[in-house]
Amino acid sequence: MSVVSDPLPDKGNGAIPPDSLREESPKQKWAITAEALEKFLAVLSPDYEEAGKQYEALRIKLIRYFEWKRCDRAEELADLTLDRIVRKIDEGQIITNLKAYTASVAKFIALENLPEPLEPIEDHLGALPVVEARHDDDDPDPQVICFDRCLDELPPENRKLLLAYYQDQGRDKIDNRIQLAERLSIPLNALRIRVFRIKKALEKCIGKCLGVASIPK
Amino acid sequence: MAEPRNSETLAKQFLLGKLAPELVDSFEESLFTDDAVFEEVEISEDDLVEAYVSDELSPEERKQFERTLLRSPRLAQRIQVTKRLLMKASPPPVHIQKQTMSWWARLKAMLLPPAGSGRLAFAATALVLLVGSSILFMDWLRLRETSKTWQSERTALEKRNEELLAEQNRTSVEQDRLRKDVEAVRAENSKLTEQLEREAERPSLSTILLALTLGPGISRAPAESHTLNLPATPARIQFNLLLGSDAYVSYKAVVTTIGGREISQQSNLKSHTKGANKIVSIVLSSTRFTPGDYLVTLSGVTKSGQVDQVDDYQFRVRTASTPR
Repeated sequence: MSVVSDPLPDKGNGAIPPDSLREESPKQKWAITAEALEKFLAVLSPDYEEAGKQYEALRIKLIRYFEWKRCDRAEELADLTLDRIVRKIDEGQIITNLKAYTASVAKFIALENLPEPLEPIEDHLGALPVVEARHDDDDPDPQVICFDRCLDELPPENRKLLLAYYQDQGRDKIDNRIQLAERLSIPLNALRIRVFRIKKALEKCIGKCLGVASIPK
Repeated sequence: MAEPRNSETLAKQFLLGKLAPELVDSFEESLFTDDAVFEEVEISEDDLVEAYVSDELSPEERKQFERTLLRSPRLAQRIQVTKRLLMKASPPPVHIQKQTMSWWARLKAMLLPPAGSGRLAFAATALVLLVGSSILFMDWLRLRETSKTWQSERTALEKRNEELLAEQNRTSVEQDRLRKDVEAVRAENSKLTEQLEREAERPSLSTILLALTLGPGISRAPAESHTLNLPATPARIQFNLLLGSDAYVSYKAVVTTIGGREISQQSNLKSHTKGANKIVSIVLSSTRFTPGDYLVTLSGVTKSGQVDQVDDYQFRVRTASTPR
């Protein structure tokens, strides 16, 4: 959690002051306290453990939201959003619909942090953090090792379903998925959701295996 | 929640930044209020990843998706996972062998014993031999390649070494030549200097002779009587060194600057009488001096050849423009 120096803009005038005008004096700065956080968690759920889970889920939603809005530093913005909400609650504001309120705060923060216009896409693709699979038998790629290991660790029926889902290309792929759904007696969209959840578990395992905590959120 | 297909379409439009402006606010709010919508966007994102990897996006969609991708290491990682899943699920097609009998099959039929345990043993032995010889052959190929590389590197190094030796020889010859040139120039210079001095010191009618009588002793500022004003034209200077006592067979005078640089050295000098004094005289060309302080160290040589320090004499040289 960070120090909040920029409270939610006043909805009354609707104006969002430029960053340069938004700096407050040190006196006005607000730092999160354990007490403030507890008030916030109490709004999420009366059960402390459940509140902790909801807090994490909300944070991940915020991170995804800022990623999808193409903001840089999605995690920082997610924390900033949470800090602002915690502050409002700490200051005594009554929030009846926390999730909707979170959406509106996140929207403002996204507007304040609009992505920089990108240069031609080709200039950036070289810098993508994509690690290509290597084919050196003497020095195997840890990503490949982790992928294989985690795939093996999946329950057999899930592994089979995952690989079956990704078979074929083009029209054959669509037909294959329709047949899979029929065989499992579930709608195609349910198959899609089921496979996505298995894939998410696989990614989580790969992330752990590689020691990259941020991947499987 | 909307119908699945509709929800999927909205999610995809949202991810590609194509959602109608009037729908953006409510859709974004539902991301937080409705877990199903949030999951649908996550799944649609995964669909986009798969379509991206399979090259199934339109150029515009691809461009839009890459804009999100650029900011997300998580998506970059997901692309890798999806690629591997696709590769694992659909391995490259294997070419099926023709049903017609190949030369290998015919050869095998000729060589192999009929089916049964003997055939199995034969096949196992053949397999071991084949694998072993393949490994050996591969090793041999690798060693041959390594050897070739080393050979070419060695040749290049030898060539470079030869070039360096030749270069060193050339440099050495050049250095010798330069050293000889320097020596020749020095010899010539020395010869000319001597010639000049001889010319200057040779008595002639046209050469001015100046005399400076010096008493023994050293002081911080030599007396005016110990000061030589350099003439505008070269002249011979006779330095008369006053002796306290005349106890030596001969004398040796060494003239140096005050800093110790030797100007002249004259030996086998005899004392002679001038008025009531005994003196030793040395004659030097005025061209040897530049303005500054000088020292004459006089040593005496006894009958037995022993050399004793006699006295030091100090004098100052200046030009007409030198400040006093």
